[in-house]
Amino acid sequence: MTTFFTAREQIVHLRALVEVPAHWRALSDQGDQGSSPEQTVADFAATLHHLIGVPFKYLVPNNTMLPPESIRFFFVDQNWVEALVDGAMSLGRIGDVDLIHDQALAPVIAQRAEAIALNRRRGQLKQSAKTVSLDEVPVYGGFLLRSAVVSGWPGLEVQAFKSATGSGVNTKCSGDGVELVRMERLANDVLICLFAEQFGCVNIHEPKEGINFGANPILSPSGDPEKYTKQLRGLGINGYPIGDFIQGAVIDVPMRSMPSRVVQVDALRRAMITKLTSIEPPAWPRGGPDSDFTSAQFSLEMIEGASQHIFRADNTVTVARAATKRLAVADQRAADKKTLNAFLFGADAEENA
Amino acid sequence: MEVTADQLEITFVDAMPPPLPAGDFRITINDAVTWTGGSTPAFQSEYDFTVGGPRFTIDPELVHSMFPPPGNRGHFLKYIPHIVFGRRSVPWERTVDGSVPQQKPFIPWLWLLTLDEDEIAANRISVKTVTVSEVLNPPAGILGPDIKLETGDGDPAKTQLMVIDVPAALINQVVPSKEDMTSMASARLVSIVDKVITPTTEDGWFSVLMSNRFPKNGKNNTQYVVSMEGYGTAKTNIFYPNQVPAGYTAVRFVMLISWSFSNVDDVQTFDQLMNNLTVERLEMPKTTTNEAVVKAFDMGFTALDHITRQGETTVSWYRGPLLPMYMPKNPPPAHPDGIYPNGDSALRFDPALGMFDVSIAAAWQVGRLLGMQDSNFASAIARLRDRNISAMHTLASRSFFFKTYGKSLDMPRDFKALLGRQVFDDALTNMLGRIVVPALTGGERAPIFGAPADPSKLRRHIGAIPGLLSDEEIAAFLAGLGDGDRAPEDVVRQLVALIRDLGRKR
Repeated sequence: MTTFFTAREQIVHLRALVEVPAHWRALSDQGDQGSSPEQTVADFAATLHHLIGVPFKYLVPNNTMLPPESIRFFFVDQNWVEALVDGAMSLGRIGDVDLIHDQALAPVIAQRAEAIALNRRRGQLKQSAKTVSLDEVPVYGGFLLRSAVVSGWPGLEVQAFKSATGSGVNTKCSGDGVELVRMERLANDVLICLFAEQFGCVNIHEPKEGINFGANPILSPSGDPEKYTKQLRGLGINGYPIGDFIQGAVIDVPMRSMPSRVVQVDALRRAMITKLTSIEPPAWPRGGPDSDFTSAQFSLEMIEGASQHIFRADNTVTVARAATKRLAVADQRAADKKTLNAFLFGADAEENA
Repeated sequence: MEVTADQLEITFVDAMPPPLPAGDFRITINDAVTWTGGSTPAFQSEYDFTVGGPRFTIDPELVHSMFPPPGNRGHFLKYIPHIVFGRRSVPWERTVDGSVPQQKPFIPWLWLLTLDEDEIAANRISVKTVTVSEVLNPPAGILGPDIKLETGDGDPAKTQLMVIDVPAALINQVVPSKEDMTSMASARLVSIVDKVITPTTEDGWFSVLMSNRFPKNGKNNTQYVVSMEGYGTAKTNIFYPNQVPAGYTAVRFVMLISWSFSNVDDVQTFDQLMNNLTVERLEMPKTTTNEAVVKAFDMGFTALDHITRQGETTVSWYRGPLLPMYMPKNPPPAHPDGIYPNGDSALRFDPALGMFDVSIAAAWQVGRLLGMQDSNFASAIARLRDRNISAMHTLASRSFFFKTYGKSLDMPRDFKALLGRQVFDDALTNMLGRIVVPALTGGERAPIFGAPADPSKLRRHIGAIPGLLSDEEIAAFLAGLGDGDRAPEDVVRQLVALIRDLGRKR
């Protein structure tokens, strides 16, 4: 097919065609019905940006890299992701013009896909989308967790932070929170968490909805519990903070009989009320009907603390944002737009552009 | 009543019963009009409807988690087992005594029964599959629930479900009171921002059902979520301190879910599991001291068997997208834009080791396969490419045309107009108006478009029309008037005389 353009001009003009929103809209109006193909392509590329659908063996080629009961931290290689997306985009790429077109399209789709990908989880959480700066390459990183905690505690919670303070058992996460962009179970016992920023600290804790009910067993010499005691918590009344233990407010758990291990649940509830109203100042209003102390208060008293485990990601690398390629594309884009206008409309078109 | 624990970010709610429990209902409407002096006969209409809800089975999708987790072995002595449902209303969707509407205190219809392995063995408790009929009419000596068949239950002779028959003596020992039951279920609202999002977690609401027993130390403990529907009525009240009625040796419970765990000195509680995790970067464990291999492993590589295109067997490096270190974006010089014409062109060769690095080539291939798998994407990329390329050619030819005839043609300034279907029609009209017509008419009679110059052709014969003065006659008349002041009536008189004279002449 003869063209009026050199190969270089074709790239320039195709890029300007697909990069300028007004041009894109004009193209979309050329008889495309229903969903626009660029949206479908960008949506699909966005799933690839987060490695969704990539077979597990391609992520972890050797089982010894992720043995049972392990947590492994990583960075995402954007070269690999770019090749992954390019492989998908190569469908039906026949001949030079197609190749030239795809060279122009790739950075545009990459940027649109990135914006979609970074807001995917926000969409699922029904949060408002955030504006994604197109000139910065996100530093993708995360971890894989392969453990019985993944299968046993499906509501497992993960928070990441910029940095950590302290060391050993006193380690605490600090700094700004880092947003999860993908959290998914890849297998029954494998969890992947992806972040689009560097993080220095990860906090994994028990699911809040599944915090355990429990009591403190006092063991007899035989090793079986002799009785159970319960340390009570404040309910936000008279200055006792909600959920905090009240010093000295410990009760025995009433049992129907110790060998049967059957808890007299309602008697336990009443014992809680008695104890909470007897201390000074009372931690529950005196004289009110017992029925005000419902299963909501009872649940709060019965829960054992949820534990959290902190992982310090000491292997973070200081990354001088290697954004030169994308920045170059951004500059190039401005230049290309000019060229297209000059080409189409003549030299005087510049001020109208 | 709600308790919000700020530090824990959990909202506890005592009960979340649905407005109507599950079951068959009938709306009866009585309508009569009464006025002074009479009334219409009462008009009555009835509508039946059914509120659905779990009864003899429960959708496993409703179960969010169980604690202690199924199959786990750990030191769970201090914990009371519980189950979490992903829907807030599950424990209150039915009632133990058929009361409608439900009144406070709300009694859940589910009981989480914990039995240890010795009790199960001694009492020969096993899960049996029976039909609904066998629940409504159990064998002699076994107590069944006091319930009626509902619309959603299907054919009682065919619908199957699971039951456990528990000896009366054991039930009398472990069954909770109705008051106990009320405290054993609650609802919770938590934030899901830090969780895997699934259909059971997405609204943040959960309901929790706890057992009323601690697990037996050193033993395997089994939990049964059983239905207590129909065990709280006057006829069959088995709740503590009532006893299973005399004459029954066992009670038949509809069993919805069961799981078991072992309460042993093992290491599978949450804390134990988390403390025992090995923490590393994602890379191959270094089992060799070979410098080149260690270096490659440090960069996330692993060595894989590779059968080349020629059939030669070799070993090549591969690494996935997840690396133990940060890798800046670094496309190879041959493909600076990251676009590869084929998978082979993404192969890299390490001359030092004489080995290929197949990582990028593998990524490219798997991307291609994933793209093919998604037919929406595959057709969209083809459409997008065709559309953009044909638009480019359209623009090329049109801008060439406009540039060539730039002196006589206005180029559409609007990008959309330039691509539009009407562009040549518009250009032609424009050209006719600006070039062709002036050329044909010598520029004198232009414009050809617009108001016609002399459509009736009268102007050419203006001298022949009676009653009209010719140009010369008007000039002579004006000359005859002279410069002096004249009365207007004199002028009119002269003009009328002139016109009458002309009329006689012609």
